[in-house]
Amino acid sequence: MSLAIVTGAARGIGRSIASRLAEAGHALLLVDLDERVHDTARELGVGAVRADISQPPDVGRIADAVRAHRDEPRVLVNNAGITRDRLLRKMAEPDFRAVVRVNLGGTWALTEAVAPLLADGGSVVNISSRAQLGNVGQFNYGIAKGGVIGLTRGHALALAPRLRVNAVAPGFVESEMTAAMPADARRRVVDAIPLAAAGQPRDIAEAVAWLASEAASYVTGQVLYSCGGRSFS
Amino acid sequence: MKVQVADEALAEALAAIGSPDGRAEDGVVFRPGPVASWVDAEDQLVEAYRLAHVAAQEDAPVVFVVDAAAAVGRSGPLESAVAVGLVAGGRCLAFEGLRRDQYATVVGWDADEPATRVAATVEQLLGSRAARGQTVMVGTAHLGALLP
Repeated sequence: MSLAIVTGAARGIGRSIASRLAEAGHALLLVDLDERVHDTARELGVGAVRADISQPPDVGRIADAVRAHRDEPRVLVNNAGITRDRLLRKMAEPDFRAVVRVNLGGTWALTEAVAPLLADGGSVVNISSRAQLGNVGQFNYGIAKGGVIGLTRGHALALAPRLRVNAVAPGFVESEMTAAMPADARRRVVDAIPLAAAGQPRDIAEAVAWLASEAASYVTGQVLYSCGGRSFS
Repeated sequence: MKVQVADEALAEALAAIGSPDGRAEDGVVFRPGPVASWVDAEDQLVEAYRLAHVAAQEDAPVVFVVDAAAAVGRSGPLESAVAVGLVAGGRCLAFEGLRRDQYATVVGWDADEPATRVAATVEQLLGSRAARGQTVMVGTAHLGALLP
Protein backbone atom coordinates (compact mmCIF):
# COMPACT_ATOMS: atom_id res chain seq x y z
CA MET A 1 0.00 0.00 0.00
CA SER A 2 1.23 3.52 -0.67
CA LEU A 3 1.59 6.01 2.16
CA ALA A 4 0.55 9.65 1.98
CA ILE A 5 1.83 12.14 4.54
CA VAL A 6 -0.48 15.12 5.09
CA THR A 7 0.43 18.09 7.29
CA GLY A 8 -2.09 20.39 8.93
CA ALA A 9 -4.44 17.41 8.86
CA ALA A 10 -6.34 17.88 12.13
CA ARG A 11 -9.16 19.87 10.56
CA GLY A 12 -10.35 21.92 7.62
CA ILE A 13 -8.63 21.56 4.27
CA GLY A 14 -5.95 19.21 5.58
CA ARG A 15 -8.48 16.85 7.08
CA SER A 16 -10.45 16.85 3.84
CA ILE A 17 -7.30 16.11 1.85
CA ALA A 18 -6.55 13.20 4.16
CA SER A 19 -10.05 11.77 3.73
CA ARG A 20 -9.88 12.11 -0.04
CA LEU A 21 -6.48 10.40 -0.25
CA ALA A 22 -7.80 7.58 1.94
CA GLU A 23 -10.65 7.14 -0.56
CA ALA A 24 -8.01 6.92 -3.28
CA GLY A 25 -6.49 3.97 -1.46
CA HIS A 26 -3.54 5.54 0.34
CA ALA A 27 -2.48 4.67 3.84
CA LEU A 28 -2.07 7.91 5.79
CA LEU A 29 0.27 9.55 8.25
CA LEU A 30 -1.32 12.72 9.59
CA VAL A 31 0.76 15.57 10.99
CA ASP A 32 -0.42 18.59 12.94
CA LEU A 33 0.55 20.74 15.91
CA ASP A 34 -3.13 20.69 16.92
CA GLU A 35 -3.73 17.80 19.30
CA ARG A 36 -7.03 17.10 17.51
CA VAL A 37 -4.89 15.36 14.89
CA HIS A 38 -5.15 12.24 17.05
CA ASP A 39 -8.98 12.42 16.98
CA THR A 40 -8.92 12.77 13.20
CA ALA A 41 -6.49 9.88 12.91
CA ARG A 42 -8.71 7.67 15.08
CA GLU A 43 -11.76 8.52 12.96
CA LEU A 44 -9.89 7.63 9.77
CA GLY A 45 -8.16 4.64 11.31
CA VAL A 46 -4.67 5.91 10.45
CA GLY A 47 -1.49 7.05 12.19
CA ALA A 48 -0.59 10.54 13.39
CA VAL A 49 2.33 12.59 14.62
CA ARG A 50 1.75 15.72 16.68
CA ALA A 51 4.54 18.00 15.53
CA ASP A 52 5.54 21.56 14.68
CA ILE A 53 6.97 21.60 11.15
CA SER A 54 8.87 24.80 11.88
CA GLN A 55 11.00 22.99 14.49
CA PRO A 56 13.88 20.85 13.12
CA PRO A 57 13.62 18.15 15.84
CA ASP A 58 9.93 17.73 15.05
CA VAL A 59 10.70 17.43 11.34
CA GLY A 60 13.16 14.70 12.27
CA ARG A 61 10.45 12.89 14.25
CA ILE A 62 8.11 13.05 11.25
CA ALA A 63 10.80 11.60 8.97
CA ASP A 64 11.43 8.84 11.53
CA ALA A 65 7.73 7.99 11.54
CA VAL A 66 7.74 7.79 7.74
CA ARG A 67 10.77 5.46 7.80
CA ALA A 68 9.13 3.27 10.43
CA HIS A 69 5.81 3.01 8.59
CA ARG A 70 5.06 -0.35 6.99
CA ASP A 71 3.67 1.22 3.80
CA GLU A 72 5.69 2.69 0.96
CA PRO A 73 5.76 6.52 1.09
CA ARG A 74 4.62 7.96 -2.24
CA VAL A 75 2.83 11.25 -1.50
CA LEU A 76 3.68 14.27 0.65
CA VAL A 77 1.11 17.05 1.04
CA ASN A 78 2.50 20.21 2.65
CA ASN A 79 -0.69 21.84 3.86
CA ALA A 80 0.12 23.15 7.36
CA GLY A 81 0.00 26.90 7.68
CA ILE A 82 -0.89 29.89 9.83
CA THR A 83 -1.99 33.48 9.28
CA ARG A 84 -1.21 36.68 11.18
CA ASP A 85 -2.94 39.30 9.02
CA ARG A 86 -2.23 43.00 9.46
CA LEU A 87 -1.32 45.95 7.25
CA LEU A 88 2.43 45.97 6.70
CA ARG A 89 2.81 49.35 8.38
CA LYS A 90 1.36 47.83 11.57
CA MET A 91 2.76 44.31 11.23
CA ALA A 92 5.16 43.25 14.00
CA GLU A 93 8.31 41.36 13.09
CA PRO A 94 7.36 38.23 15.10
CA ASP A 95 4.15 37.98 13.07
CA PHE A 96 6.10 38.25 9.83
CA ARG A 97 8.69 35.75 10.95
CA ALA A 98 6.19 33.19 12.31
CA VAL A 99 4.14 33.09 9.12
CA VAL A 100 7.21 32.76 6.90
CA ARG A 101 8.81 30.16 9.18
CA VAL A 102 5.76 27.88 9.35
CA ASN A 103 4.27 28.25 5.87
CA LEU A 104 7.49 28.41 3.88
CA GLY A 105 10.24 27.13 6.18
CA GLY A 106 8.13 24.17 7.28
CA THR A 107 7.34 23.24 3.69
CA TRP A 108 11.02 23.49 2.79
CA ALA A 109 12.22 21.46 5.76
CA LEU A 110 9.69 18.67 5.44
CA THR A 111 10.21 18.32 1.71
CA GLU A 112 13.96 18.12 2.21
CA ALA A 113 13.49 15.49 4.93
CA VAL A 114 10.80 13.36 3.30
CA ALA A 115 11.45 13.61 -0.46
CA PRO A 116 14.46 11.24 -0.25
CA LEU A 117 12.17 8.69 1.39
CA LEU A 118 9.46 8.83 -1.28
CA ALA A 119 9.34 6.00 -3.81
CA ASP A 120 10.29 6.71 -7.40
CA GLY A 121 7.30 8.19 -9.21
CA GLY A 122 6.09 9.79 -5.99
CA SER A 123 4.48 13.18 -5.71
CA VAL A 124 4.77 16.27 -3.52
CA VAL A 125 1.82 18.65 -3.42
CA ASN A 126 2.28 22.01 -1.70
CA ILE A 127 -0.59 24.23 -0.64
CA SER A 128 0.02 27.81 -1.73
CA SER A 129 -2.72 30.45 -1.86
CA ARG A 130 -4.42 32.80 -4.29
CA ALA A 131 -3.38 35.47 -1.76
CA GLN A 132 0.12 35.33 -3.20
CA LEU A 133 -1.30 37.20 -6.20
CA GLY A 134 -1.75 40.14 -3.85
CA ASN A 135 -3.94 40.77 -0.81
CA VAL A 136 -4.24 43.69 1.56
CA GLY A 137 -3.00 42.84 5.06
CA GLN A 138 -1.14 39.72 3.97
CA PHE A 139 2.41 40.84 3.16
CA ASN A 140 3.70 38.01 5.38
CA TYR A 141 1.31 35.35 4.10
CA GLY A 142 1.73 36.48 0.49
CA ILE A 143 5.51 36.23 0.72
CA ALA A 144 5.27 32.81 2.36
CA LYS A 145 2.78 31.43 -0.15
CA GLY A 146 4.58 33.00 -3.11
CA GLY A 147 7.71 31.45 -1.68
CA VAL A 148 5.94 28.09 -1.68
CA ILE A 149 5.47 28.47 -5.43
CA GLY A 150 9.18 29.22 -5.81
CA LEU A 151 9.95 26.12 -3.75
CA THR A 152 7.53 24.09 -5.85
CA ARG A 153 9.26 25.03 -9.09
CA GLY A 154 12.75 24.74 -7.64
CA HIS A 155 12.03 21.32 -6.16
CA ALA A 156 10.24 20.22 -9.32
CA LEU A 157 13.44 20.80 -11.28
CA ALA A 158 15.74 19.47 -8.56
CA LEU A 159 13.77 16.26 -7.96
CA ALA A 160 12.81 15.44 -11.56
CA PRO A 161 12.50 12.90 -13.07
CA ARG A 162 12.21 10.84 -9.87
CA LEU A 163 9.44 12.87 -8.21
CA ARG A 164 6.80 15.37 -9.30
CA VAL A 165 6.22 18.56 -7.31
CA ASN A 166 3.15 20.75 -7.79
CA ALA A 167 1.07 23.26 -5.86
CA VAL A 168 -2.58 24.02 -5.31
CA ALA A 169 -3.52 27.64 -4.65
CA PRO A 170 -6.89 27.83 -2.89
CA GLY A 171 -9.00 30.96 -2.84
CA PHE A 172 -11.71 31.70 -0.27
CA VAL A 173 -12.56 28.37 1.36
CA GLU A 174 -15.10 27.63 4.08
CA SER A 175 -13.35 27.12 7.41
CA GLU A 176 -13.72 27.84 11.12
CA MET A 177 -12.08 31.21 10.46
CA THR A 178 -14.27 32.25 7.51
CA ALA A 179 -17.41 31.08 9.33
CA ALA A 180 -16.76 33.81 11.91
CA MET A 181 -16.64 36.60 9.30
CA PRO A 182 -19.35 39.30 9.43
CA ALA A 183 -22.07 38.60 6.85
CA ASP A 184 -21.44 41.75 4.80
CA ALA A 185 -17.70 41.15 4.60
CA ARG A 186 -18.30 37.58 3.56
CA ARG A 187 -20.79 38.71 0.89
CA ARG A 188 -18.26 41.15 -0.57
CA VAL A 189 -15.67 38.38 -0.85
CA VAL A 190 -18.06 35.92 -2.44
CA ASP A 191 -19.43 38.56 -4.84
CA ALA A 192 -15.92 38.91 -6.29
CA ILE A 193 -15.72 35.20 -7.12
CA PRO A 194 -16.91 34.36 -10.67
CA LEU A 195 -18.37 31.04 -9.54
CA ALA A 196 -20.33 32.99 -6.88
CA ALA A 197 -19.57 30.72 -3.95
CA ALA A 198 -16.95 30.04 -1.33
CA GLY A 199 -14.90 26.93 -1.95
CA GLN A 200 -15.31 23.86 0.17
CA PRO A 201 -12.37 21.96 1.68
CA ARG A 202 -13.37 19.07 -0.56
CA ASP A 203 -12.74 21.25 -3.66
CA ILE A 204 -9.12 21.65 -2.62
CA ALA A 205 -8.84 17.97 -1.69
CA GLU A 206 -9.97 16.97 -5.19
CA ALA A 207 -7.27 19.14 -6.79
CA VAL A 208 -4.64 17.66 -4.48
CA ALA A 209 -5.82 14.11 -5.13
CA TRP A 210 -5.55 14.64 -8.87
CA LEU A 211 -2.05 16.09 -8.70
CA ALA A 212 -0.98 13.23 -6.41
CA SER A 213 -2.42 10.60 -8.75
CA GLU A 214 -1.11 8.83 -11.82
CA ALA A 215 -3.61 10.85 -13.84
CA ALA A 216 -1.24 13.82 -13.40
CA SER A 217 1.90 11.82 -14.17
CA TYR A 218 3.05 14.34 -16.82
CA VAL A 219 2.49 17.39 -14.63
CA THR A 220 5.25 18.92 -12.52
CA GLY A 221 6.24 22.38 -11.34
CA GLN A 222 2.69 23.68 -11.86
CA VAL A 223 0.29 25.73 -9.76
CA LEU A 224 -3.39 24.83 -9.90
CA TYR A 225 -5.62 27.69 -8.74
CA SER A 226 -8.75 26.33 -7.08
CA CYS A 227 -10.44 29.64 -6.37
CA GLY A 228 -13.66 29.85 -8.38
CA GLY A 229 -11.94 32.02 -11.00
CA ARG A 230 -10.97 34.71 -8.48
CA SER A 231 -7.31 34.59 -9.56
CA PHE A 232 -8.09 36.56 -12.71
CA SER A 233 -11.39 38.29 -11.97
CA MET B 1 16.64 56.51 -0.13
CA LYS B 2 17.95 53.24 1.29
CA VAL B 3 19.64 51.17 -1.42
CA GLN B 4 20.53 47.79 0.05
CA VAL B 5 21.58 45.58 -2.83
CA ALA B 6 23.86 42.58 -2.53
CA ASP B 7 25.81 43.54 -5.62
CA GLU B 8 28.62 46.10 -5.84
CA ALA B 9 28.04 47.02 -9.47
CA LEU B 10 24.33 47.62 -8.89
CA ALA B 11 25.02 49.62 -5.74
CA GLU B 12 27.42 51.81 -7.72
CA ALA B 13 24.94 52.22 -10.57
CA LEU B 14 22.23 53.27 -8.10
CA ALA B 15 24.44 55.66 -6.13
CA ALA B 16 22.66 58.66 -7.65
CA ILE B 17 19.39 57.73 -5.92
CA GLY B 18 20.58 56.28 -2.65
CA SER B 19 23.01 54.23 -0.60
CA PRO B 20 23.14 51.64 2.18
CA ASP B 21 23.22 54.55 4.62
CA GLY B 22 20.13 56.14 3.11
CA ARG B 23 16.82 56.46 4.94
CA ALA B 24 14.22 53.73 4.40
CA GLU B 25 11.65 56.38 5.32
CA ASP B 26 12.46 57.94 1.93
CA GLY B 27 12.15 54.70 0.00
CA VAL B 28 13.82 51.33 -0.44
CA VAL B 29 15.59 49.40 -3.17
CA PHE B 30 16.38 45.92 -1.87
CA ARG B 31 18.13 43.02 -3.54
CA PRO B 32 18.55 39.87 -1.43
CA GLY B 33 21.97 38.36 -0.84
CA PRO B 34 23.06 34.79 -1.52
CA VAL B 35 20.93 32.03 -0.07
CA ALA B 36 22.62 28.75 0.90
CA SER B 37 20.37 27.60 3.75
CA TRP B 38 16.94 28.15 5.25
CA VAL B 39 18.51 30.52 7.79
CA ASP B 40 19.83 32.64 4.91
CA ALA B 41 16.43 32.59 3.21
CA GLU B 42 14.59 33.65 6.36
CA ASP B 43 17.17 36.36 7.06
CA GLN B 44 16.76 37.83 3.59
CA LEU B 45 12.97 37.83 3.79
CA VAL B 46 13.03 39.36 7.27
CA GLU B 47 15.36 42.08 6.01
CA ALA B 48 12.93 42.80 3.17
CA TYR B 49 10.15 43.02 5.76
CA ARG B 50 12.12 45.40 8.01
CA LEU B 51 12.91 47.80 5.18
CA ALA B 52 9.45 47.68 3.60
CA HIS B 53 7.81 48.08 7.03
CA VAL B 54 9.66 51.35 7.61
CA ALA B 55 8.93 52.56 4.07
CA ALA B 56 5.23 51.66 4.40
CA GLN B 57 4.84 53.86 7.47
CA GLU B 58 5.89 56.85 5.37
CA ASP B 59 4.15 55.75 2.16
CA ALA B 60 7.62 55.64 0.59
CA PRO B 61 8.32 53.59 -2.55
CA VAL B 62 9.69 50.06 -2.43
CA VAL B 63 11.46 48.20 -5.24
CA PHE B 64 12.63 44.62 -4.87
CA VAL B 65 15.31 43.45 -7.32
CA VAL B 66 15.45 39.67 -7.74
CA ASP B 67 17.27 37.24 -10.02
CA ALA B 68 15.09 36.66 -13.07
CA ALA B 69 15.95 32.95 -13.11
CA ALA B 70 14.88 32.57 -9.50
CA ALA B 71 11.72 34.59 -10.08
CA VAL B 72 10.52 32.04 -12.62
CA GLY B 73 11.63 29.08 -10.50
CA ARG B 74 14.69 28.13 -12.51
CA SER B 75 17.13 28.41 -9.61
CA GLY B 76 17.55 26.23 -6.54
CA PRO B 77 14.47 25.79 -4.36
CA LEU B 78 15.47 28.30 -1.70
CA GLU B 79 16.70 30.97 -4.13
CA SER B 80 13.44 30.59 -6.03
CA ALA B 81 11.45 30.70 -2.81
CA VAL B 82 13.01 34.01 -1.80
CA ALA B 83 12.60 35.56 -5.25
CA VAL B 84 9.01 34.43 -5.85
CA GLY B 85 8.21 35.36 -2.25
CA LEU B 86 9.41 38.90 -2.90
CA VAL B 87 7.44 39.02 -6.16
CA ALA B 88 4.33 38.17 -4.13
CA GLY B 89 5.32 40.63 -1.40
CA GLY B 90 5.64 43.39 -3.99
CA ARG B 91 2.13 42.65 -5.21
CA CYS B 92 0.67 42.60 -1.68
CA LEU B 93 2.35 45.89 -0.84
CA ALA B 94 1.12 47.42 -4.10
CA PHE B 95 -2.46 46.49 -3.17
CA GLU B 96 -2.00 47.97 0.31
CA GLY B 97 -0.53 51.14 -1.15
CA LEU B 98 -3.28 51.84 -3.68
CA ARG B 99 -5.30 54.09 -1.38
CA ARG B 100 -2.29 56.04 -0.17
CA ASP B 101 -0.33 56.08 -3.42
CA GLN B 102 2.52 54.08 -1.96
CA TYR B 103 4.48 52.59 -4.83
CA ALA B 104 5.83 49.03 -4.88
CA THR B 105 7.17 46.90 -7.70
CA VAL B 106 9.68 44.18 -8.55
CA VAL B 107 12.52 44.05 -11.08
CA GLY B 108 13.81 40.72 -12.39
CA TRP B 109 17.48 40.78 -13.36
CA ASP B 110 18.77 38.44 -16.06
CA ALA B 111 22.32 37.39 -15.22
CA ASP B 112 23.50 38.52 -18.68
CA GLU B 113 22.28 42.08 -18.27
CA PRO B 114 24.59 44.83 -16.97
CA ALA B 115 23.90 46.44 -13.61
CA THR B 116 23.61 49.82 -15.31
CA ARG B 117 20.58 48.65 -17.28
CA VAL B 118 18.93 47.33 -14.10
CA ALA B 119 19.66 50.62 -12.34
CA ALA B 120 18.21 52.58 -15.23
CA THR B 121 15.05 50.47 -15.05
CA VAL B 122 14.75 51.02 -11.30
CA GLU B 123 15.17 54.77 -11.72
CA GLN B 124 12.65 54.87 -14.54
CA LEU B 125 10.11 52.93 -12.49
CA LEU B 126 10.58 55.14 -9.44
CA GLY B 127 10.25 58.21 -11.63
CA SER B 128 7.19 57.11 -13.55
CA ARG B 129 5.60 54.91 -10.89
CA ALA B 130 4.62 52.62 -13.73
CA ALA B 131 4.16 48.85 -13.50
CA ARG B 132 2.92 49.05 -9.93
CA GLY B 133 2.92 45.61 -8.31
CA GLN B 134 4.29 43.97 -11.47
CA THR B 135 7.49 42.12 -12.19
CA VAL B 136 9.53 43.97 -14.79
CA MET B 137 12.07 41.63 -16.37
CA VAL B 138 15.35 43.15 -17.55
CA GLY B 139 16.58 40.81 -20.27
CA THR B 140 15.01 38.09 -22.35
CA ALA B 141 16.68 34.92 -21.09
CA HIS B 142 13.44 33.83 -19.45
CA LEU B 143 11.02 35.04 -22.08
CA GLY B 144 7.90 32.89 -22.00
CA ALA B 145 8.64 31.35 -18.62
CA LEU B 146 5.54 30.93 -16.55
CA LEU B 147 4.54 33.73 -14.16
CA PRO B 148 3.19 34.16 -11.57
